[in-house]
Amino acid sequence: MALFHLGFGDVAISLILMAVAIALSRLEGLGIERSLAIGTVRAFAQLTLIGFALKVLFQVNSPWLLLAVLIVMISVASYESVRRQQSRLPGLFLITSITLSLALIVSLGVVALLIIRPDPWYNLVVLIPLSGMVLGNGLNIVSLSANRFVSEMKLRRASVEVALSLAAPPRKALHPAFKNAVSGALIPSINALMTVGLVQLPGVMTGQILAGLPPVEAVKFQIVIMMMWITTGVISGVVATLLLMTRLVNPRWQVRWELI
Amino acid sequence: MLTLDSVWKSNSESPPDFILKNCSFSFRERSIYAVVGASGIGKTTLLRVLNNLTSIDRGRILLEGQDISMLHPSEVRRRISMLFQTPAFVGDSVRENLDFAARFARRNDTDFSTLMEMVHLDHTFLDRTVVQLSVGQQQRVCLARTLVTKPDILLLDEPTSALDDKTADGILELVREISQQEEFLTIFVTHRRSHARKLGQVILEMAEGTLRSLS
Ligand SMILES: Nc1ncnc2c1ncn2[C@@H]1O[C@H](COP(=O)(O)OP(=O)(O)OP(=O)(O)O)[C@@H](O)[C@H]1O
Ligand SMILES: [Mg+2]
Repeated sequence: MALFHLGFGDVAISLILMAVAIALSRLEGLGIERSLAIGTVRAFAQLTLIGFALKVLFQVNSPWLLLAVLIVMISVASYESVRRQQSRLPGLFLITSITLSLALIVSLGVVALLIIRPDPWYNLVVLIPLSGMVLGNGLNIVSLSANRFVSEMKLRRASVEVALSLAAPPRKALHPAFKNAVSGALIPSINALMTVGLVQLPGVMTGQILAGLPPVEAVKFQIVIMMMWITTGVISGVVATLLLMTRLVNPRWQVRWELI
Repeated sequence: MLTLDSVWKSNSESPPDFILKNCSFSFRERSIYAVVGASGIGKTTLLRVLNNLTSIDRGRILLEGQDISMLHPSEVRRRISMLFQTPAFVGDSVRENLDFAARFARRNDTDFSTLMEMVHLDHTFLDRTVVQLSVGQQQRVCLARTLVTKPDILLLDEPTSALDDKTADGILELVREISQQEEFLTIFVTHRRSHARKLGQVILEMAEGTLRSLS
């Protein structure tokens, strides 16, 4: 039983906040009014649509449906990852798909099958929202680390070439770029882990408390979700960057600089 | 000892521009070659090709008769060392740089003090931070680092271009001394003909994608 109940009218009132944001943008010449407006319409439309879609999905509830939905979600995330890059990176769609699938298998495997143990095991009500979190976070980390890896490589080109010419394997020659890319992409997640609960309550937990779950129960879920979140991030950063590395280096231990 | 056999190498533009066009040349052991040529003609590319740092479109490169594409990349790069146009580092201190090279050189017997002596730097330099050295000293450290793998062939890409005349002369003298003492095949790229004459036993000109002898 929810503590508070929101009508669609109540939700519409939240548009006042967006109006403030748009007014500020206009006043200070930020030039993001259009994006804010389009984003608002999209958020309303997408979330409403997904709300109804989930309702239907939850009623059908079959493992095949789960698989189909996951494939669609992974494809959309992979497309988005390609779109977010400054330069065209070879094989990024496939790299993101493989990475996110792996992150999903590991984190859902532990969280859903060992901790939450839904009944039936493929219960979409549990697995779809969790997958959404894993994929959203994974996508962010993949995009950040791929972008950063490429800029680090360009920045460090001279020392990468020196390392290779000293007979270092590409993995070693590119390690500084790899390390900075992955750790840099993970800094926001690690900071969130450090300050969680002190500065802000994560969205999921806020939502659960507002929806009427006792705070201590919400905390338990939140801890599990934070663990899932971090693991997903580390797997995504490491796997995607290593896969990207294999595309940017050929078997002759030559970096294909022309690709980046 | 090192042979280019009808090598073609294009840049990554489309349509491709050929930097090496059917280039054939045999470098003999224990000799110092100086390669001159205009800026942008492909001198750096030639050395990167010889060090297996970049692929070629067609042709073969033979190291003592063996096609380098058949050898393991690490073996090629151990036997052929390259000194780059501007100093670049793979560690903070001089010692870390030499350690890095030794790790992949399959040599644990390297005495760093001897190496420092060879490039006329005091052994106390070993624990200095590379960014605090002058460019001339940095280039000496890089030269010492190329020696760690005990190569047979030394490739030098305008090692003096960032240096003043006096320091440049010092490096050239050093390269001659080490090349002769170690019996290297040395290929030295420069756009300064005076430097080429000073160091090179054979002077080659790079033009239109090929090498031809000037002397
Ligand atoms: N990373 C790169 N990507 C694309 N083209 C390149 C790249 N590096 C070099 N080139 C092109 O290859 C050609 C040969 O360059 P290279 O650096 O070998 O010339 P160079 O003779 O060493 O010149 P310099 O004396 O100025 O060092 C040039 O036309 C250059 O524009
Ligand atoms: Mg050059």
